[in-house]
Parts: sequence; structure tokens; C-alpha cells
Amino acid sequence: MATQNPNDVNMWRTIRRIVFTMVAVFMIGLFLLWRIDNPRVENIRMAIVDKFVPSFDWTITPVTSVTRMVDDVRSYDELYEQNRELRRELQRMKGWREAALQLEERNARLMALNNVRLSPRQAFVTGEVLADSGSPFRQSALLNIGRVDGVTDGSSAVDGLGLVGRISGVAEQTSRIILLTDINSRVPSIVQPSGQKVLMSGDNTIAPPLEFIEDPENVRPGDRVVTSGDGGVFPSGILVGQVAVGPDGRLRVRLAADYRRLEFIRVLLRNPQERIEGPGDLIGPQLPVLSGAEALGATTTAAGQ
Amino acid sequence: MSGTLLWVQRLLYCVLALMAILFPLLPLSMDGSQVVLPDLFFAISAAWVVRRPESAPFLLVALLALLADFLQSRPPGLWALVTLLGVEFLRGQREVMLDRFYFNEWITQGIVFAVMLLLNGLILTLALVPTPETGETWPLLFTTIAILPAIALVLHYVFVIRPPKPAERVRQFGRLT
Repeated sequence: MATQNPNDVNMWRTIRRIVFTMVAVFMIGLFLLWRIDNPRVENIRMAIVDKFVPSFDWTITPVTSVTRMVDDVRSYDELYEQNRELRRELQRMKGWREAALQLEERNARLMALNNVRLSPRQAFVTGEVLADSGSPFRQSALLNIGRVDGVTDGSSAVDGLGLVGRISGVAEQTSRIILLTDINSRVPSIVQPSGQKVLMSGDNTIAPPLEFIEDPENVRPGDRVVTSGDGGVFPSGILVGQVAVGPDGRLRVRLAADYRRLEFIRVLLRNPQERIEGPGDLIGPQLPVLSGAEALGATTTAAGQ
Repeated sequence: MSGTLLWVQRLLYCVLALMAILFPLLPLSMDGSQVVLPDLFFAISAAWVVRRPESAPFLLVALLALLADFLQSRPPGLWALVTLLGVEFLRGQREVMLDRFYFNEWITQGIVFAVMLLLNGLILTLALVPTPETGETWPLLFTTIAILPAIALVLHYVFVIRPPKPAERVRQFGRLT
């Protein structure tokens, strides 16, 4: 080490500079490629995540479970209070359950009278959250189910209570969910009693604001917000949350999904609805089709004879 | 410095950097109002190249930064490049920083990180990528600056990543004027 030729050192320095420039150019190129051909680079990203994150599951899982245990222990403090609360709630729920059963029965009878056909039930797969986005500016989560489980891009994800987000990026065994709180998330929805169509757009806060409200007078805090199904990404009628007024006076949605404890997430499998293409045809006996060339051929043979 | 020690330090750098990249991925809280975590990878790399530049070669830094970009769902390449430029700048300034108090190093690293954030935001705006509002990057700057001394302490006392003694430095790199 002590006997280094100055020429050698200079040469190494030049090589280092060249390699450094190449690396920098490569990175700029990658960024530009991402900007121009986003889906392809996102596919590469999903492939890398698919290779990398599940193999580091063993490092992620213990930390996650320890913090969850700490959370659980903390909640023991409020056990007594919680217990009483739950008991009271249970009483109330019993009443509701009775009402729901009666309504269900009545509904079934009315449906039978009308001979209504409901859309086929949604099938779903359930996955576990592997990791989150790792950035405070992107709200997304990584699931341990992927293409092999039938997840497709654009499938919607719910937890037990309400909508969580939609799938954006699928690899073989992992997939990424864009949460409703992400700045790229837009959900066409309906505010329930008034039936107004609104757009819920994420803004990195826990309560996304509502946009494009036709008549804000008719929307009151506490109204239910469900997906409208417009745009064909989310199926209609999934509960999103309740309207609330933010501190800034904007109408926001308090999400029904429990974002504090996203652990298991259901992904609704998309069975694309059949579409009706074009208007119906003329109804009647089938007419023989006579094209121009055939008609011409018929006349020439007639002339030849 | 012996060859084995160099490789041990490189390995240690890789492991620490990977932990820094994977830590924010832990699905601990997913509501929008979570705490803004500092850029741990930059903090570790910045402290490392000032102390032991030979065990964190720039290719390694670039590779890990690129991996971080891909895993943490940032636009790939951009933040990696900005990080690389910042770290390399600090590597060039190390002789100046080491001869002064730690405070000097801290301030330099903080300013470099602020410039990196500015550059990143500028390029994202030029490329018309939808970015979060500028107000939201302040917490990132502050938490990262706040974590820098802690990282330096941990590297110094726990992992024994210390700058070589002045005499040793002269022997290794020659006298810098």
C-alpha cells in the first residue's frame, strides 16, 4: 500500500470517474424510462419486490408481531372498561340482529314475489399484509397473494368492514394495494341517503376529502358513502365510510376499514360483467344473403348458356 | 488496514443499509397520519463515508440506493442518483470535516440533505410527476438531521467505525494540501 505508483493512482481515478458517470447516466435513464413507459418499469419493480420481500419475511415478521403484542398488552389496561362497553354494545346489537332477521325474511319474500335476479356473489381471496410502502408520501401495502391466486390489476381490496383500496401491480406471489389515502386514489362513490355522486380522492391523510359534490347542502355528516361502480374499477355498493366535516370545513370521509390494524385483506376477484354490444338485429325469417359478386357471376353464367 | 477487516466492514455496511431500507417497510401503522421516518439509508451512508470511505465504495452505495428506490415505491433512479451525488460530495469533503468538530460535519450533512430534497423536488416537478406538497417534506428533513448524530454515535461506539488517526491518514492517502 505504501508503494503506490502515482500513475496507477491517476489511472484508477480516471476509471472511477468514468464508471461513476456511467452509473449516473444509467440512473437518469431509468428515471426517464419510468416516466415514459411506466407500466413496464413498474412490472420490473414488482418482479424485484416479488423476489426480494418474501425472502426477507423472516426479518419482517418477528418485529411486526412484537409490536402488535405490545399494542395488545397496552390494550389490556382498558380491558375492564372495554368489556363493559362491549356488553352494552352487544345488548344493542341483539336488538338489531332481531330486526335484521325479520327484514331479511321480508326481503326474501318480496324478492320471490318480484322474481329478481341478483348479480352473482363476489368471490374473494384473503391475503396477509407483508409490508407497507416505506414512504410517508405513498400509501400502499404489499400483500402475499398474487397472480397465482387470481389477483388481477384493478381488483378491489376490502377488510371485514369496508373498502381498503385497489390492486395496482401484481407479481407471481405478491401484489401491491394503493390505499384510499394515497394521493393517486380516486373512488367514484355515492352518498347514501341523498344518492349524490361524488369523487373521493386521497390526500395522504386518514380522512380523504370528497370532491365534485353536486349539492353540498344535501350531504350531511354521518351519511354513508358507498362505491358507485362508475368507471368499472370498483364494484358498486361496497361500504367506504361515513361523511364527516374536517377541521378545515371540507367534507371528508371517515373510512370504515380499520386502517390502524390492516392485517388480513380480502381481494375481490373480478368477474367482468358481460357487456351488451350494439343494438339488436332485425327479428324475422333469415333472408338469403346475396352479395354483388355472386349476382354478377349468376348473370354471366346465364349469358354463357 | 488488513483485507479481512475491510471486507467485514463492507459486509457490516451492507447489513446496516439493508436494515435501514427494510425498516420503513414494516407494516406497523398504515393510516395517513403516521410519523415521518428519517431517511436512514442516507444517514448511515453519510456518516460512513466520512469515517471509512474505503469500505463503502460508491458502486455499493449506488446499488443499495437503487434497491431502496424499487422497494420503497419511489420513482426508480431519481432519489438513488441524488443520494449518490450527496454521498459522493460528502466523501470529497471528509478531510475538511474530520479536522473540525463534529458540529461542522453535522451541518454539512444537513445542508447536503436539504439540497438533495430540493433537487429531487425540482426534477420531479420538471418531469411533471405528481408530488406531495412541499410542506410535507419538512418533517423528513428535520427527522433526518435529528437522527444524524445518533447514527454517528452508534457507528463510533457500537460498530467501531472510526476515522483513522491523522498519522495513519497521511500514510494512506498522502498529505492533502
